[in-house]
Amino acid sequence: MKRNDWILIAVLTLIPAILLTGNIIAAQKIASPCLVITVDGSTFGIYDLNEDRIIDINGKNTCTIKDGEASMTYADCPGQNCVHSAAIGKEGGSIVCLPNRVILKIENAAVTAERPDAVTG
Amino acid sequence: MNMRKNLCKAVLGCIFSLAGVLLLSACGSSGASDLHEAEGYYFDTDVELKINDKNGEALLKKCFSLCEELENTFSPSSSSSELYKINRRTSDTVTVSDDMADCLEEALTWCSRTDGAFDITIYPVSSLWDFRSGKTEIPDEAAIDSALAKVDYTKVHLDGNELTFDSPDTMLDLGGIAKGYASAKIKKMLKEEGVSSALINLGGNVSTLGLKSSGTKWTVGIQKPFADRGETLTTVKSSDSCVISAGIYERYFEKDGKLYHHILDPKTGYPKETDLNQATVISTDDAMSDALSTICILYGQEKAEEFIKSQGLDVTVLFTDKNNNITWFPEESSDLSAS
Repeated sequence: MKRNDWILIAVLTLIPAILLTGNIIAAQKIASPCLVITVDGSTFGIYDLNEDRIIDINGKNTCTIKDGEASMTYADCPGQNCVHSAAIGKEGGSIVCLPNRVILKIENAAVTAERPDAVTG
Repeated sequence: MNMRKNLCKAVLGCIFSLAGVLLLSACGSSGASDLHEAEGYYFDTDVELKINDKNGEALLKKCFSLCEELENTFSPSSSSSELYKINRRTSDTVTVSDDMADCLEEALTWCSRTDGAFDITIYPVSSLWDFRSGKTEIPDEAAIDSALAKVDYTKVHLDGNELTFDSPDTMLDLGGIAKGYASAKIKKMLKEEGVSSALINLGGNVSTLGLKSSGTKWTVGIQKPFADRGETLTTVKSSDSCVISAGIYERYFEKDGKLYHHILDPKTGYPKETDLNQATVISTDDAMSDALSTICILYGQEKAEEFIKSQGLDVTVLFTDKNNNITWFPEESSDLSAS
């Protein structure tokens, strides 16, 4: 075979290999649980639960990610229901600040038998 | 040259196969489940919907527009709502919408069955109390007394869509039943659209349609009173039923060591003294469960049990006492119990 043939083989095999790797990485990224913050229905940001950080949400709310869990650590609303909500982690769940229209939600939650589909009360 | 052609064919074949695999995996990940979820804000609370259906996105929109419509019917505070206008009527008789008439009919039945222990004309009193702003103000006693004089459901008469008031200062508050009415209506619409699997959560009023996509019942956690939101005492299973709780921990403030909660006694105008932290009513009638959960708190456990028996109501209640211990009534059922 000529040199060009080898180049052709290399290029033609590399392209799908790159595509496949990219797809696997993207799939892993999508599949792992992450925190999605929405404000008034629009996505404010998507965050990795494994990375400790403090997120300021328009100066009205503060979300803290620590040890794989997210909680609302500050809200300027009178009720403070969101601040009194249990932290959410990879098992799923959401925290809602109704007056400020802020939702913290876990996407791609790990499937566990314990977590209910909804909570009453 | 031939060899080169074959080589090209072989490699291209590989690429197409790989592309096929990639395409299939992409389809697989999006098509494995038809679960569509969304959250919104209606009825002064957060609304969570889960619909298992290929038309889920369109149906979610339809559900939210129904929520908007019902909010515009039952909101006591929005100046554009039907209830707001009824409460500020200029004539004794008002023609109401079908939804208002249906909900009022059900609500007045509970007022009558409880002889006014549950009373939808409590608005003059409930509007004096503020359990949301974080303030800890107890309304003036004279103001409560004067508002109490306006509370009497027997002054409200419904005949078809004609609503007549005996007194001009009677005002309605459907907060104890409207969300139950709304979830039943949403569920009915979804059923008519052919949906066989859905969960509707109107701020903790949970109603389910069919089974989850996994073929199992939906699980509904019971909030642990006075604990962080989302922390549960136990879990129940639900399919084509509703699980609705009322509790003294939902909206309250503390002043001078005393807890003032939002479930007001229509006879005194103050938060009802009760032996319960919470009552959860499971049934197939959402409006009934909604009203009955509040009635249970107002009555206390013993009287609530007697009431349910005497009325022959087909319900299961989980009473949560002041120590957060749960008692099932009539009894724990394996159909409902998740443990």
